[in-house]
Amino acid sequence: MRRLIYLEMKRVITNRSTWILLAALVFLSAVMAYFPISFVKTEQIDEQGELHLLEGKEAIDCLKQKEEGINGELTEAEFRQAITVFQECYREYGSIFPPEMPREEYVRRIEPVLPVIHLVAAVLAPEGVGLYTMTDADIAPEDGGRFYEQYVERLVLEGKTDAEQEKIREMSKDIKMPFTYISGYDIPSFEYLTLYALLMMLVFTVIISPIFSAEYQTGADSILRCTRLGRGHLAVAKIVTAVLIYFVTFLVGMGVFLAITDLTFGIEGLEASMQTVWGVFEIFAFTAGQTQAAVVAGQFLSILAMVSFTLFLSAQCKNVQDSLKIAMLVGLLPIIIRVVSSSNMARLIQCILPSGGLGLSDSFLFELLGTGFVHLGPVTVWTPYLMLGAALAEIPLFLFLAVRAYCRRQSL
Amino acid sequence: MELEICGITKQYKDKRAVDDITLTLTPGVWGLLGANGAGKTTLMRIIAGIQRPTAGCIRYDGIEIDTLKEAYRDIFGYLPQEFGFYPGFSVQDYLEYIAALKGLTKAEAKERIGILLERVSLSKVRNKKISKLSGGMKRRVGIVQALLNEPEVLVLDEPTSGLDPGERVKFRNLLSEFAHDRIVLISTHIVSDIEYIATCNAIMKEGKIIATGKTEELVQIVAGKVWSASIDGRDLGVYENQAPVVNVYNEENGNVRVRYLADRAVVPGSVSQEPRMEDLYLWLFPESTGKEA
Repeated sequence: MRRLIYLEMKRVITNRSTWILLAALVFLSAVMAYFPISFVKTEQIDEQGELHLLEGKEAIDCLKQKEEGINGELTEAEFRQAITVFQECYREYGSIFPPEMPREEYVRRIEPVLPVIHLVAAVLAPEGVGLYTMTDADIAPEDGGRFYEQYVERLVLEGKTDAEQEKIREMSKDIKMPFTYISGYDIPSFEYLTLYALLMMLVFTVIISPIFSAEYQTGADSILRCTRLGRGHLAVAKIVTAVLIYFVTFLVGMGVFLAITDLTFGIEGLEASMQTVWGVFEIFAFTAGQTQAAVVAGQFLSILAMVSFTLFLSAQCKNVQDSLKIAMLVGLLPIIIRVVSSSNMARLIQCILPSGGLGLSDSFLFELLGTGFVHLGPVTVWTPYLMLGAALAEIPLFLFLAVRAYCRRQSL
Repeated sequence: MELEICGITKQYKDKRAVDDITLTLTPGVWGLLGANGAGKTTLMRIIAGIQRPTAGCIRYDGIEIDTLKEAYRDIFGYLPQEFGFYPGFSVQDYLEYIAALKGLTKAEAKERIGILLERVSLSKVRNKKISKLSGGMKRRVGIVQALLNEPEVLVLDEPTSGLDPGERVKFRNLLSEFAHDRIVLISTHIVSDIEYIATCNAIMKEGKIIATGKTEELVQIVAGKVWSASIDGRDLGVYENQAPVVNVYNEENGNVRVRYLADRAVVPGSVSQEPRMEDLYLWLFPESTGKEA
C-alpha cells in the first residue's frame, strides 16, 4: 500500500497544473499574511511636533509603544482613566475624533487609550449608542467600576431567546475577568486567515475533482479496475494521497501565514483576551492565541470535509467538469445562503454543509466570535459546535462513500 | 484452464448489446471477429469484470469471477480499445504504477518492464512522457501493461489499431509466443490480425455469436462462393452492384482483376478461389462493403 500511495502521489504531483496550484497556495499564504500587516497605520509626532504617517511593521511597533500604559489586565483604574480622557477631550472639542479634535491631540491623548474606550462604549454606553455617537453625558469615570458586572449582563442579552440566554450564561462562566489587553494583534489577520482558508478550499476542489472522475473520463479506469489492487486498495490509496497532499499544503500554507503574522504582530499578543481584540461580546474564554488555534483547527476540518466531499463527487461523477462544478457550488453555497436568508433553517443548512465553516462574514471565525445559535426542535446549538460536529461526521462518511462509489462503479 | 461465458446478456435501455452468449474459451488465441457495434467491446468488458451483465455469468475454472474477485484480476490482463494515460507520467512511471497495482514488487516490476519494453521496441523511449509518443507507441505501451503480470487470461480489444504493418507482425509474433498455456482473446475487425495466429475464432453479429471454429473450418462457410475474374475497369461499378467485391487490382492490359463473393459466378470467365477469413468476414458483414450479399 505504501508503494501504491507513493506512486499515486507521484502521479498527482507530476501533473503540472497541480504543482503550480500547490506552489501558488504557499506563495499566496505569504501574500495574504502581508495584507493585514500593511493595513496597520498610525501617526507619530516627532521632536519638532510634526505628524508622520507610519505603516506596516513600523506602525505596529509605534502602536505598541503608545499603548504601553494599558497593556496587561484591564482593571477599574484603566476604565476610569480612559473614561476621564474621553470626557475631557469630548468637552474640549465636541468629539474625540479628527477633524473636530486636532490630529496631534488625537494621537497624543486618545490613541493610547482607544482600545479601552472601544470596550467602554460597547459595554457601558446606553443601548443604541456606540463609540462614534457616545457623548460625555453617556458615561462617567465611576462607571468603570461596574464594567465587568455590566459586561456579564449585556453578554447574556445577546441571546435572542431564553434558551439562548441560558446557553450564553452557561458557556461564558469561564471567561477570565479582568480581561488582558496586549497591543499587537488585530482582527484583519484573523479575517485574512479565513479568506486564505476559503481560497485553499477552492484550489483543492480544482486539484481533487479529477482524482477519480478523470479516470472515468479518459477511460484509464478500465485498466486500473482489472488489476489486483485496482479497486478498494487503489481507492484508498487515492484518498490517502489526496488527504496527505492537503495536510502538507495546509501545514505549510498556514505555517507560513502564522509565522509571518505572529512574528510581525508579536507572539506576546496571543496572550490577549479575545474580547479585547474583537467585539467584546464573545462567549468563549479564549485568548487571541487560543482563538487562532481554534480557527486553524476549524478551518482544517472544514476544508477536509470539503476535500472528502469532493473526493466523493469525483468518484461519483463521470467527468471532471461535473464534479468540479458541483464542488464549487457547494463550496460557495454558505456564502450564498447567508446573503439570501438568515432564518433558522438557512443557518442550519449553512452550518451542516461540508463547506459550512468556510466563507467570509459567515465563516467559522465569526461564528466562534459571535452568539449565533441554531434550534433543532427543543435543542439549542451554538453554530460553531454544529459546524465542527457536521465536519467531523462528514469526513469519514464522504470518504467511505467515495471508496464505495469507486468500487461499485460500472464503466459504461 | 478454461473461461466459460455462460448465457451473457447485456441489455441497455433500448438496445441489446450482447444477446445470450455462451462460449467456452480454452488455452490458445481466440479471435473475436465482428463489425463495429456487434457487441465485442461490451462482451470483453463483461469478461474483464468492469461491466455487469444483465444476465449470465463468467466462470474461470468453474468459479464465478465475482467470487474469485482479486484472484481473478491477479491472472487477468486487459487492453481496452480506448484508454487514457497520465500526461505527467513517463512510460517507465506508468508501467511501474500499473505493476504496483498488479501486485508486483519493485524488483519484479523492473525486470518485467525491461523485458517487455525490449520486446515491443520501446526501451529507448522508456523515460519519455507518454503524451509525447505516437499513437502506435502508446498502443504498444498498452500491450506491455496488459502483459506485466504474465496473465493466464489476456483480453485485447482492437490491439493493433494504430500499429503500422511491421509493428503488427511483431505484435502477432509476441502474442503467438505468449499464448502457450494461456487464454488470449483478441477482438478485432482487422481479419489479418488473427487469421494466422488464432487457434479458434468466434464471429459476433448483433450481439450474438453466429459462428465459432478454427480458421480453416470457418472459411468453409464461404467455400465455393469466392470468385476471381478479370473485367474491364469501366464495368467495375456494374459488378459491384451485383456482388460484394473483396478486392480489386489493376492488370497490365488495362483490365482489373476482382475477387468477389457470390453463390454463383456473376462474371463470365470467373475462377473459384480458396476462401480466406477476409472473404468470410465480408460474406457475413456485407454492410462493410456497402452492399448486401
